[in-house]
Amino acid sequence: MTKTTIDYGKLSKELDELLADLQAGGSDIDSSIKQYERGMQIIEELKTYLAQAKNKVTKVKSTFSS
Amino acid sequence: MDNNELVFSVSDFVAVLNQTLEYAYPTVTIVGELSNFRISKNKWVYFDLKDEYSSVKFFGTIYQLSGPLEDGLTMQVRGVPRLHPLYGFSVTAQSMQPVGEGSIKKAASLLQEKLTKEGLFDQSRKRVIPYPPKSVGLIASSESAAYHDFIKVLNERWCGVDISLADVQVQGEAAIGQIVAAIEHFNQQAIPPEVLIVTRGGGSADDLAVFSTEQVTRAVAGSRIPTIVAIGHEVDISLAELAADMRASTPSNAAQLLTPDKKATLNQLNISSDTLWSMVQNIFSGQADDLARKSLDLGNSIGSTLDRAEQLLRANNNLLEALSPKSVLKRGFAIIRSTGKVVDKAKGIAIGKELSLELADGYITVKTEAIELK
Repeated sequence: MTKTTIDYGKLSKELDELLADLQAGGSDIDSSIKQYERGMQIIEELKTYLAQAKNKVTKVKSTFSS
Repeated sequence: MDNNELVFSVSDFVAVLNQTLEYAYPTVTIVGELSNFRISKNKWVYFDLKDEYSSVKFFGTIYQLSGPLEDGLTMQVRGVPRLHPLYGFSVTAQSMQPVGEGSIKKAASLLQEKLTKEGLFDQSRKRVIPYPPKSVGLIASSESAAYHDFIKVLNERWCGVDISLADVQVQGEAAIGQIVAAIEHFNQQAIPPEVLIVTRGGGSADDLAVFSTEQVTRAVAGSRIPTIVAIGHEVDISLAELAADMRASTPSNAAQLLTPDKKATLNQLNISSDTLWSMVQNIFSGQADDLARKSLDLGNSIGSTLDRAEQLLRANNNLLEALSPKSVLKRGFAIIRSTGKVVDKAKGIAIGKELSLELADGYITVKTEAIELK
């Protein structure tokens, strides 16, 4: 298995939750700034992942063909 | 009678004939119409294959069946021809499958009915496919267009997926065992892939029959790993597709269902970035409004307090003014002092004593001439 530097699904979920949290309001300025910075960091990481990651095909060594 | 002609005992004849058959036809494959099909003791299978002129007896076990069968189906059976010492000639079946579109459909329909009763195709069994998955177990022929289509579309759409390919035959007799073995292989891994894709391109009913066999259908249904089965044909749906957690119409469609589109996702990320910025701006602007409101409230509050204090001071001042002796003097009263001390009684004042009268505008010194007590 290829070691991917990020977990796309996990980060994507964190971004969705963060956006929903900000949208709901109630955050103070300090935590809003932290959430904003974290959100932008996640977006950059996801963009980098989409730009750089490759699919990898490995043939299973077990022989299935007769 | 020719003296050179061999004379066999019955047993010898059976043995020689079997040896001859074994040498000449170790296995035979025969196609014919199924008749007299019956299962004995839930294990042994007896049937005949016949055509217009002939009929051949067969013997086998239920493990060789591709699913439930009934008389009238056209079957292709591979087996070992043999003359039994007591029961005569028969072919011991090694594999059997329906052939021809009608028979394949009929056999699939019988199997579908059986497996439906068992609940193998129930919607409640369907699991959610991870979206997008990090790892995929792909069961396909590496030489097939289906495999290349799947990889091509996946590469166009998404990235970072680890694909483990189990290279199997996807049609013919050997395909059933290979596909089942590949599904088992992935399911037995310590860290199995997140999803299994079983795929092949389109083909004739015979080519696709593998995917409607009981073995493959049960293997797909029994997989602990969620499955997508994508067979490249639109008209008929194989039983393996019905048993899968998700069906894709083609190998390319499987890649589409499995992953988001990278370009659309990048666009969405840009939108999220803008949304994030505008949300924070809104929070800042809300906080600024709140501060301005509080500042105004503070000013108003202080103003009111000062007003109240001023009013109180004014009232107290008025009261003080009213109670001041000076105010009394203005009304014609006088303060009498004798040697600097205030005199508030007539008694005790000596005749001739000098007294000082303080009036509103000055002082008068007087001399006591007479005293009259009340």
